[in-house]
Amino acid sequence: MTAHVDARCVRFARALYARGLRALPREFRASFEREMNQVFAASARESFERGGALALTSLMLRDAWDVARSAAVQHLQRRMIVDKKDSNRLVACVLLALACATLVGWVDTHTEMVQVSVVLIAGSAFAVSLIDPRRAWLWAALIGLAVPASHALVRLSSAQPSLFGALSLPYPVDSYASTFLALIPAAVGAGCGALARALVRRDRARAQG
Amino acid sequence: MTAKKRTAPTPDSAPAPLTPAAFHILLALADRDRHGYDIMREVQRQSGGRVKLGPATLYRTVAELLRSKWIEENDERPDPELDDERRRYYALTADGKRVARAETQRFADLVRAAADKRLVGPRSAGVRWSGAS
Repeated sequence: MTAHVDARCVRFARALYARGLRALPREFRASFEREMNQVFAASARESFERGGALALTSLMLRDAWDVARSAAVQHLQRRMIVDKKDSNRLVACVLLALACATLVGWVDTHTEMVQVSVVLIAGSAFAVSLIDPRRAWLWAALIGLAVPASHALVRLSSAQPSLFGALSLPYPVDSYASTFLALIPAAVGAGCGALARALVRRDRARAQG
Repeated sequence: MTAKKRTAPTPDSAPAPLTPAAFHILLALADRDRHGYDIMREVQRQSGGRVKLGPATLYRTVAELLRSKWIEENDERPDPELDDERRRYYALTADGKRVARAETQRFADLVRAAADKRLVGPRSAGVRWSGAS
């Protein structure tokens, strides 16, 4: 009876672990999932024989953390860089996005018309996302955050004129939090850029048959 | 952001420091070919129980080492009669050996530097790995 319960405990742990492995990227699982399950099964049996349910629970917690951390690292790696060509494109797009963000920050702190900033933010995010649609979220964040960053700089210069000279805004801003609204046109622009790229890719694929 | 693409080192060029997991795995494979669970147990043994690799970290690192061609899969079974056919064995490549030696020498140099500052005893600092040259 006890042996039966023991086997069930280990089986349960294995089933739970196998389910947890779904958090890992598909291509990684295709290569190593079977082996990882084997290794976990062997560790689970050993832990249970050595220290009972407590040792098995401790192993499960440790390995759950291990899977979660590996999944996060691998998904991030996959999302950020695929190959050398992609890495070059990433560097180029980061530089382009930073240039756009600088321009957006300068225009927003020197022009009264908010429409100009909005068009510039959405247009920049659209353009960079069209080049690299996989990281549209990153371009939206970089360009959208240029407005809060430039306003923070202006506020800092007002408080400490010795740093950059006394900068001032051409229009009143009630709340600093409202500057984060710039993330909305950035997200819309980036989303449209990524969508446009997907449509172009689909049309090309259709044309090639 | 990605796993560092390390090129195979030449005798003239020292590789970047390895991650602890990568070094432990190379070290575990230095004496013989091993399968995943065996690597895990050997890492635990050689670190005196201080390093316990989980399966996800183990295979993530194995994947990186395979990509760098520092280890390879070995189709031969040490003892086919006793072994599970589904298990994959991993072996150190010549480049992997060079990297492991270079990393070991780096540690030896650090130990020597620590001994100079009287942080460790002179006996341990006197250790030299003849194969590292």
